[in-house]
Amino acid sequence: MTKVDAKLLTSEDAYVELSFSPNVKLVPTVRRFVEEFYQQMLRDQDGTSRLAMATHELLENAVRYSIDGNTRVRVGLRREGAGGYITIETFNLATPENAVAVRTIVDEVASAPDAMIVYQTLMRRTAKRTDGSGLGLGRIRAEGEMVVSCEVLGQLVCLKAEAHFPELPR
Amino acid sequence: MTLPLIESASLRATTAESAGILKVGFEGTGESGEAQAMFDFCQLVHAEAQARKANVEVDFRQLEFLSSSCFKAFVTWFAQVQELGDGEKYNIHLISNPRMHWQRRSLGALASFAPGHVTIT
Repeated sequence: MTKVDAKLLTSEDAYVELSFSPNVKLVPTVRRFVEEFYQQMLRDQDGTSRLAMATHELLENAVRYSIDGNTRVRVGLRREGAGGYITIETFNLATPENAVAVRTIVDEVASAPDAMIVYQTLMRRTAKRTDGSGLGLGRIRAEGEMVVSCEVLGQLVCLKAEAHFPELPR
Repeated sequence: MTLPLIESASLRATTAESAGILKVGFEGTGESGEAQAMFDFCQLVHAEAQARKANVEVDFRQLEFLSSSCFKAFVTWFAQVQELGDGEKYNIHLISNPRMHWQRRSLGALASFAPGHVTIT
């Protein structure tokens, strides 16, 4: 089951929030849905492509590690002057071990001075892994040019990626 | 020997040999569910390239999206090429579509990962 909530809060800001069952087959569907949102907000193909990729990677991560029947994603636009920020957040319950693992990789990716160097490091590491890829968060930072962060509250894991756009159409 | 291919609801991949070059083409989207198929396919292409002593050309122009799970298949493949002996290495040329914006970033990252053996147009 999928639930969608969308609001145009003021003429300045907007968000879309979806809850859906953690089924990996739904991830492409949700990606295409939010891609339409990005296209309307940005009217920029490159920006839309970056954000759609980041959304997919965050969703895939949330679906993979969710331990209950629910994954939530929130995409928000916050204007600031001529531009603004687009934030993608996913929320899911995870085991304590997976919550620690996610926080560890986010800390590594977020704290690295050079996004492409840490991405290449993750590539070298993942080339020898048989489980998962470990590339998604590095990809969000390097290819998506986004800031990534993680907050863990008990078993609730919130992953966040944010991009600044110096100019946004009105 | 049968050349590798993928035929699924969202992804199609084909291989053909022409003038000593192994030509690989993708069409559709590389979703997470295709990760194993993509990995197996890339491994078979790698084996064929070595067996035929052929360079490889990979056409991404019809590939609309590639998840990191599928991207990993190329990372593993290109790392294996880097580890071959000097007389065994082969070249890989990637053909991109400028209208697919993700390709400039993702394929660029792949080429940087395997310098000297991977080129892009």
